[in-house]
Amino acid sequence: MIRRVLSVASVSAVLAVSCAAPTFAQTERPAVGAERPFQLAPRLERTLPNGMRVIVTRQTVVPKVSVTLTILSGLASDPPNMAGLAAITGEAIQEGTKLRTSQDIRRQVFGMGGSLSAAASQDYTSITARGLSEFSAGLIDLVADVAMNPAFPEQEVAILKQQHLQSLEQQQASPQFVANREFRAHLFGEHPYARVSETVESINAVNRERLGTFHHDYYRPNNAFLLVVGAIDPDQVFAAATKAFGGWPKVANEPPKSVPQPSIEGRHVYFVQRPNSIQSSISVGNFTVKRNDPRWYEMYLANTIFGGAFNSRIVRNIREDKGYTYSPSSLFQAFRQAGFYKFDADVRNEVTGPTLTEVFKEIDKLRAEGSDGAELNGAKQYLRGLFPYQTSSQAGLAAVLNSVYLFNLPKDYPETFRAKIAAITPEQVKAGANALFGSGGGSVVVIVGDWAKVKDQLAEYKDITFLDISGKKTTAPGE
Amino acid sequence: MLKSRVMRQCLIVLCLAALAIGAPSAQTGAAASYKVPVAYRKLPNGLRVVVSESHASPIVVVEVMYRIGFRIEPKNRTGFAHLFEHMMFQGSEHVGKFEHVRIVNENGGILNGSTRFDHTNYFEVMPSNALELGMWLEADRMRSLKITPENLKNQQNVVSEEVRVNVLNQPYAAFEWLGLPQKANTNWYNAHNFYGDLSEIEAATLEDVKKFFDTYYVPNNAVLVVTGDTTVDEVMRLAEKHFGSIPQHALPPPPDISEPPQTAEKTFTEPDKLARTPAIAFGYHLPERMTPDFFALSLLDPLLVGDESSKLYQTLIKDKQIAAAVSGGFNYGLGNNFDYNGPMLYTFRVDYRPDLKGADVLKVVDDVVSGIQQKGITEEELRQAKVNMRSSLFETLESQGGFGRADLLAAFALYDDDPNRINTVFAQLEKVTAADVQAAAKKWLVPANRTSIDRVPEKKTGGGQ
Repeated sequence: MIRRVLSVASVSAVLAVSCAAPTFAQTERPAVGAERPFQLAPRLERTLPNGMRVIVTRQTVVPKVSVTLTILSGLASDPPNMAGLAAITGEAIQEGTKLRTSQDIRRQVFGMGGSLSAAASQDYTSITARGLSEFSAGLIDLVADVAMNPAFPEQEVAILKQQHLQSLEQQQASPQFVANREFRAHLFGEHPYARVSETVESINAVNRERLGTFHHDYYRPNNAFLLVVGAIDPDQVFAAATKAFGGWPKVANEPPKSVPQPSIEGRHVYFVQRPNSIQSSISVGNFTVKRNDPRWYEMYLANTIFGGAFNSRIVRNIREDKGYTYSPSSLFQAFRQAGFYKFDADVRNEVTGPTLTEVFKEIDKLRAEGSDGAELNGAKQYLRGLFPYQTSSQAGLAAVLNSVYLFNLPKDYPETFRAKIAAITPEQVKAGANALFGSGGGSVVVIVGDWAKVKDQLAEYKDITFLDISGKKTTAPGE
Repeated sequence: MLKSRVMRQCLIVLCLAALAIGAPSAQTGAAASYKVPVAYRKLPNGLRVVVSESHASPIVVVEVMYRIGFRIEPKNRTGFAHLFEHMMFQGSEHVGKFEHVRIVNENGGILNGSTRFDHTNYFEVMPSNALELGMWLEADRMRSLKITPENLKNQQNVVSEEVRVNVLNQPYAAFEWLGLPQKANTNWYNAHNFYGDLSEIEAATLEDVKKFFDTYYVPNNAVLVVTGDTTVDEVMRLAEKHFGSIPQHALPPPPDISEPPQTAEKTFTEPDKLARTPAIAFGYHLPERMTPDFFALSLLDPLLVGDESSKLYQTLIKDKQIAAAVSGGFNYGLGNNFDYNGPMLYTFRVDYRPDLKGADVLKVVDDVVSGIQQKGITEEELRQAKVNMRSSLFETLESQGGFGRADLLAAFALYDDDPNRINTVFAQLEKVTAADVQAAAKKWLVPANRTSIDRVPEKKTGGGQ
C-alpha cells in the first residue's frame, strides 16, 4: 500500500506537507491512567566505631554493585595556589598502595567486571568502584585500600601530572570550557567555589608531600561515608565494610570554613576574545542559595520552567521559535555553602546580541509573572516523573543518596521529594524565580567569541571587561 | 573539570556500550544465570514488536527504531537523515510542532532521537501509567507527518548550529568518528559527511522531507520496543490498536553499501586551527558483524583498549609515557558492537605528547598488536574479558531508565530478526578461544587494513610540557 499524500493549505503554510493515512487513525489522545506506586528499598545505616557511616540499600535490576566512598572535602579545600590538589589526590590514590601496584589495582578491577574512578566536586571527593555484585567484598576491600594506604609512587605522580598538564592545555581550545571557567571565576571571586580549573603552576606544585598532606588531613573515617547500592546482602556488606575500614584511625578535623559570598550589583559582561570563532559561547548566571536551603525546591522548579527541561521557555523561544541555537539550557547547581544558576548556549555570531535580549526577557518575565496553570503543573509533573527514572539505575540512585549525606538533607528526602514538588504554589514558584535569578538583577555574562563579528550587537552593554583565552584582562580587541 | 579523567570515564562509557555482552561459563550464580525477558511478534503490516518486562520502577521505555540511517541518505543531501530526525518533532496529524516534547515532559517523561549509520531511533521514558500516551505519540508520527516551510527552515537553522557547536567550532572537529570513515572508506555510502555540509542541509526542501518519510518511515521498516513496568499482553494490545492500521509500503531495493577491501595503509595529516595539542585517530576495517572473527575481536577489545588496565593504556601512558589519553571501540562514538549493519571501523584515538608525531604512536601500537599476534592472550585474560563484557552488558541494560536495554533489543530485532540475541549472543562469545583472538588480530589489525588521521595544531602554542 502507498501512503496517501494530502497537501494541506493553511494561512501560514501554503506548502505544508502532510503524509497521512486517515482511516482507522486513533485521533483521540489517550488519557493517562492512575499513577502507580513508587517506592525505594529501605536504606540501612550504621556508624563504625571510628566514625565512618556506612549506608546500604538493595537495587537489584542487574546483578551489579556500586561502592562509593565519599570524602567530605573537595576542590574548595585546595590551598589557594594549589587548584587541582583535591582532584589529583583522588586519582593518585588509585596509582598504588602499600599492598598493590597501580597495575595490580587495574587488573583486579578489570577481573571483577568493574571500574574504579574518582570524582572531585566543590565539597567532596568520591571514589567509586562498580562491578559484578558477586565481587562486592573485593570491591569494598579495594576502595578501602586505595583510600587508606596510598603510596603515591613518584613515577605515577609524575605521569598523572603530565596528563593533567596536557589536558589543561587541550581544554583551553574548548570555548565551553573557557566560558565556564571565566563564569565561575568572576561569579565567585575570592570564594573557593571560583576555582574550577587547574593552572600550569598549580599542577607543577603538586608533589608526593602535598598529596600525602592532603590525604592525611582529609581522608579520614570521620570525614567520610560509604554508600553501597546493588544486588547485595546488607549483612555481608556491613561485615565487609567493617573488616575493610574498621582499622582506619579517626582524627579530629575542622569543618571547612564558610567564606562569605561576594555580592554583585548590575550586569557585568566578560568578553573572551577567540579570533575567528564561528559561534559565540554564552553563559549568563548568578549566585543562588546553598543546597539545603528550604527554597531549593521552588528554585529548582523555576529553573526547570526557564531552561532546565527540553520543554522549557528558553528552548521554545530561542531554539524552536528563532532557531538561534541547538542546545540552550539552564543549570541550577547548589553546593554546601552556596550555589549558582547558569544559562548556556552556543549561537551563531549574528544572533549574539538578540540571544542576550531574549534571555533577559525570559528572566524578567519569569521574575515578574511567575508561572501557573498547565505550564506549572507540567513542570511539576516532569520533575516528579523524572525522579523514578533518575533512581532506576544503581549509579543514579547512588547519586541521589549521596546528595542526602553530602548536604545534610533530611533522611527522607528521596521519599518526600515528589510530594514537596507537587505542593509548590504559583506564588512560591514566582518567589523561587526571584531567588534564582537574584532579586537585584545581578548577573555575570560571559561571551567567548570574535569581538569584531559581534561588537555592533553589544552596544547597549557598557560594562564589558575583555579577557584573553587564558583569562587575563586585556583591552578591547582591535583598540 | 579534568580532561584526562573525564576522557577515561568517557572511554569506559563508550566501552560499556561497545562491549555489551559476554558470559563466562566458569561463572556461577546471579551473573551467569541472568536473562533478559523477551517477547517478540510481528503485526500484519510488518511492524516488529518487542516487549521486555521489568517491574523494579514504575517507568516504561517506548522506542521506535527505523531502518534508515545516514549511510544511505540521498547523495546530494548529506546530513539529511539527521535533519529529518529533527522533523519528526515538528508535528504530525494530531500533534502540533514541538507538542510531542511538551506532552512527554508534562507527563513526567523524557525523550530523544538519534541518527546512526543504519538506523534512526526515537524514544520516550515515561511513568508506566502514561504507556499508551507514549505509544500513541509514536504511532501518530509514523502514520502522518505535518511539516510547514517555517518549521523546516527553523530546524535547518537548529541543525546548522548543531554542526557548528559539535564540529566546526570544536578542536579536532569530531575527527575520530566523523572524519575517519570519510578517509577509510571508498564507497560514498560509507564515506560521506554524515553530519552534512551546511549548504546541503540548507538546500533540503519539503519535497525531500515528504519523499524520505514516504519511503522509509513505514511499519515494515521499523521495530517498536517497550520495556519496563507493563505486560506483554498490554503492549501487544496497544500496538495492534495504535500501529496496526498504519499501511505498509514496499521498500526500495537496498543500495550496494559494500566496502572493497583495503590493500595498503592510508595515513593523513590534518592541520587543526583550534586544537592546542595533537591527537591521532586510526581505524581498522572490521570483519562482518556476527562472524567468528567479529566475536574474537569483540573479546580482544576490552583487553586492548577497554580501560586503564588495557594493553594500550598501560603501554602508551604508563610504560612509554608518550600519550595523555587513549580510547577506542567498535562503531566508536556512535554506538556499540551490535547496533549497525554494514561496513564498520574499529577506531582508536590517542592524545599524544606535543613533541612527538602520530607515526611515533602508531609504531608503539604496532608493537603492542604484534605482541598479541605473536604470543596471543592468556587464558586468564580471556576469562577476565568475558567477565568484563557481561558486567558491561548489565550496565547497558539498566542505563537511562532501561533505554539501553530497549535500544539493544531494537537493533537485534531490526538487523537479526531475533531480539533474543540479547541472551543467546553470550554463547557465541563463550566459544571464542585465545587462539581465535590471536588469529583475528593477525588477520585484521594490520597496517594495510588501517587508516589514520594525525590532527596537528596549526600553531604550536607550547605549554603543557
